[in-house]
Amino acid sequence: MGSRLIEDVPSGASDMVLAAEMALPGNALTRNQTALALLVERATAGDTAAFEQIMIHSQQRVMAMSWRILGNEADARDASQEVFLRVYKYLRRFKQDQDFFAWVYRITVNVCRDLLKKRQHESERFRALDGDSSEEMLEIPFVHEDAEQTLIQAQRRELISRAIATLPFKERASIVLRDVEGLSTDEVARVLKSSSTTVRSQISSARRKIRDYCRRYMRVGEES
Amino acid sequence: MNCKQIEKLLPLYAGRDLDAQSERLITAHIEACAACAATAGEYQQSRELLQEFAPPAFSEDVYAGIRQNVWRQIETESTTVSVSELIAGWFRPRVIWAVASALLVAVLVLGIFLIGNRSRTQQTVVINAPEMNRNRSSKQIVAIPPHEKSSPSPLAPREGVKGPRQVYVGHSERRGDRKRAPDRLNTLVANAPDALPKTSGSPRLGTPSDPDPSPARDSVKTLRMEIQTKDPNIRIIWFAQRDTKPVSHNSKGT
Repeated sequence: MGSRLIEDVPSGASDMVLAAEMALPGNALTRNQTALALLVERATAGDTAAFEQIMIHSQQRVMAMSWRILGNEADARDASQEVFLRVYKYLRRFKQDQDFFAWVYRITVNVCRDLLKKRQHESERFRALDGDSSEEMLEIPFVHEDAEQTLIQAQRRELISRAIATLPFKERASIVLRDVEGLSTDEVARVLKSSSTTVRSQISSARRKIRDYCRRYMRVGEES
Repeated sequence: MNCKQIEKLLPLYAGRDLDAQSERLITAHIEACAACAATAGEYQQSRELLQEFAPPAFSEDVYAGIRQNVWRQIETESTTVSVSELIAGWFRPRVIWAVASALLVAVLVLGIFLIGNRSRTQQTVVINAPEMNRNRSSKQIVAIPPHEKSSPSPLAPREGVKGPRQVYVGHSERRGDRKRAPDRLNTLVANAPDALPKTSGSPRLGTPSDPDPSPARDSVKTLRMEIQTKDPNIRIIWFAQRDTKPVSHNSKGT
C-alpha cells in the first residue's frame, strides 16, 4: 500500500490519493521513500506542484507533532506553516539518502522549540499546574455520539497534555517521538541529533514524570 | 537486583527499551515482587495514555489554510529580499571572494616586497653620501667652492669670498616633502671623477672642461655628488674635500 511511484500518478486527483495513503499514521518513516524522493527532486528543481504534494503528504504528521508538543491548535498551525517554509527553503540541502520524514520531524522539533521560546512570556499554558485546570481545557470537538465517552477521552487528553507540558523541551520531544509517534530510540536519536543513550535517559525521565503526574492527578480525582 | 535498582529500570522496561537480559531479570523480579509489579503497571498505564494522545481531527480547511499561507509567504519572500539577507549575502563564503582575497594578499605581498627593495636602494645612497643627512634642511643648499669664477650659473659664487659658500636656492620644501625628499631623489650619487664626465651644461668645478684649474685644487681631491630631484630645475650638487694631505706630503718627499 502506498508504494506507487510518482510516474504512475498521472493526474492531480491521483496525487491526492497517494498523498492520503502516505499520510497514514504509523511507523512509516521508511515508507514511500522512492515516491518522496522523486517529489523532492522535482520540488528542488522548482516544481511547485511537487512541493504542494510534499506538503499534502506530510501535513498531518507535522500538524499532529506540533500539536502534541505545543498543546494547542493555533500554535500548531503557526508551527506547521513555519516548518513548510523551512522545508521549502532548505530542500536543496536534503540528501536523497536521508530519511525525509526524519528530516521533517527534526525541522518540526526545532520550530516548536523556537516557538515555545517565543511564546514563553506570552502564555502560561506550559507551566506546571497543580490541580487547578478548569480554565485551560483543550479544544475538543464533539464528534462522537456518546458524550460520556467523549468526555472521558477529553479528560485523558487533557491529563496527558498537561503532563507533557510539565516536561523540559528535550524530554518532551523525545517522549512524543518515541511513545506517541512510535519511532524507535535510534530513530529518535537521529531526529534529535543526539545519542541513543541520551535519548534513553530522557525517555526514562519523561516516563517517570508523566507517571508521577498521572498518579497524583488520579489520586486528587479520587479524593474529590 | 533489588527493588531500588529495578525501580530505576522500570520506565524503560515499560517501553521495551532494555536489552533482552535486563528485561528477563526485571520480568522475573516483577513476578516475585508485588510492589514493583504495581509500579510497572502504573508505567504501562501512563504509556497507554500517551499512545492515546491523538490530536483532534483537523479539517481540510485548516490544512488548506496552512498551505495557502506558506505559498503566500514564499511569494513574498521571493519578491522582497530583506536588507539583512542582502548584507548577509555579501559575507557568505564564496569562491569568488576566496579568489579575490588571495589576489589581494598576493598584491600586498608583492607591494611590500617592492617597497622593501626600494628603501634598501635608498639606504645604499645614504651610505655613499653620509653627509647628505645634514643637508636635509628646509632649504636646498648648493655648496660651491671659492675657486670657480666663471660659472654662468645664476648660482655662481661671488668673487673675493673665501672658503666654500652656501647658496640658498629660493625653493622651500613643503612640510610633507621633507619626509619624501629621499624618495624624490632620482639620481645620482657618484664619486666626482667618475660622475663628472656625465654632467653637462656649464663648466663646473672639477670637470675636465674647467677653464681655470687652480693649482691648489690639485692638492685637494674633491668628492662631488649630484642629486637630481624630480624638479628638473633643481639639482643638488654636493662637494666634499677628501683629506689628501698625507699623500701630498709623500709627493713632496719624493
